[in-house]
Amino acid sequence: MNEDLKAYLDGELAPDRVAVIEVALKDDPGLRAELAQLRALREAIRSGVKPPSVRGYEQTLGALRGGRRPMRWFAQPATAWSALGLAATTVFAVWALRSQPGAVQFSETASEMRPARHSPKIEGAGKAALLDDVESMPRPMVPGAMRKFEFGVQNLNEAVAAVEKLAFDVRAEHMAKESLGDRVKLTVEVPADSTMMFVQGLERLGAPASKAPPADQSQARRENALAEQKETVVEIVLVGPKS
Amino acid sequence: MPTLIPQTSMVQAVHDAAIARDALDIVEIARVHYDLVFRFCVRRVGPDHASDVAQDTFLTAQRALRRFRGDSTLQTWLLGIAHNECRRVARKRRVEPPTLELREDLGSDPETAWIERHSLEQALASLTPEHREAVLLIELDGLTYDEAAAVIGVPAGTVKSRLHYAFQHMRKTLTDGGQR
Repeated sequence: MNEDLKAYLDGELAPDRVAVIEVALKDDPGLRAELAQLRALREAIRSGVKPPSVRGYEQTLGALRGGRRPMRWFAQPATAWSALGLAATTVFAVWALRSQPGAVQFSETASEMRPARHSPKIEGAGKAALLDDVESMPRPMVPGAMRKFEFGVQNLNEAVAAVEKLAFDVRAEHMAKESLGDRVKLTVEVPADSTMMFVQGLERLGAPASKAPPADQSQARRENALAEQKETVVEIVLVGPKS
Repeated sequence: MPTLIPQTSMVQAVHDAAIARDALDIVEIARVHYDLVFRFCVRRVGPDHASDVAQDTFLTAQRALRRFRGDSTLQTWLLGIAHNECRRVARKRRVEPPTLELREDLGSDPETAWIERHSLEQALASLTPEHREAVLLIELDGLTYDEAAAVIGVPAGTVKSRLHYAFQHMRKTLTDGGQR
């Protein structure tokens, strides 16, 4: 009964359940009190949570019209030319200083050239922007976490479209398609946490049921480690009917 | 004499027209739905990432618009994409769910006077990710149970159950806090 109370409050119950709840509410003051608390809590959340101010609308429209994300500040031509100019000025200044007699001497012996112990850290908005750009670069397939499927289909084009839709649904980030006569090979990078859903979708399309996890413990550990961070590469070979 | 157009040019023209039509549509869709998508994102990945994720949502929608067959409403479809984008960014950037800030004047209404603002903030923050998502979808994004289920890809009964347990948890947290 109590489990239906919130759905009753939201108007999400079937008419027969509504009738049951309403009879119970008449007879049970405890249930009425609980309903009142749920209503108050719902109103507190709906009206109490501050609405965020909306940002980024114009940039999104610009990206949609241009078909691509606006360039980051460091990638804009003006910034690039400024950086090039600054670099040229620095090189010239160093050359000028070195060519004057008695000017500052620069050490060139290996023992005095101490390499930095750590790579320089980039934080804040610059880091986010760099991460964003690195993510958008074409990446090689991740070796290791790989699954292969090969199965026959009645209609090759429909099956390819179905796999493409499945890949879109699980937010696959890389897809390659190769036609091989009466078969098509699709290679998809599936986010690790969506691999199971993707494989189940393939099974619904006719793929053989997936095998048990590998017995080799080191292999299993390696796959688990990859699954924490990376995508699973799934190779699907769809075999069309013989013509 | 009719002008003969090379076939490749005609194919290109049809292709360009389709691109132009889609571009126009997606801009119109963004005009109508941007606020909704941005608010959806900001509550899941916070203000620092929300505009990027909202933009990525519309860029993904632009690419996928031809495949939208109207099986769900446009709003549900967009929020489904936004949900996936938020999960992707949260996973890659290790983003924690942001705190939901409440108005200062919460509890001025007699009906909600027993709800203390700070306790409600804590109660919301202590929800599991699944329960929090159900509360956000229904109470703040204003979706029905069926729409929420379509966005996150679970049965409507699961949404109902998660919402029930989320509210039970918050009631308990609030009443326990009030007795202390």
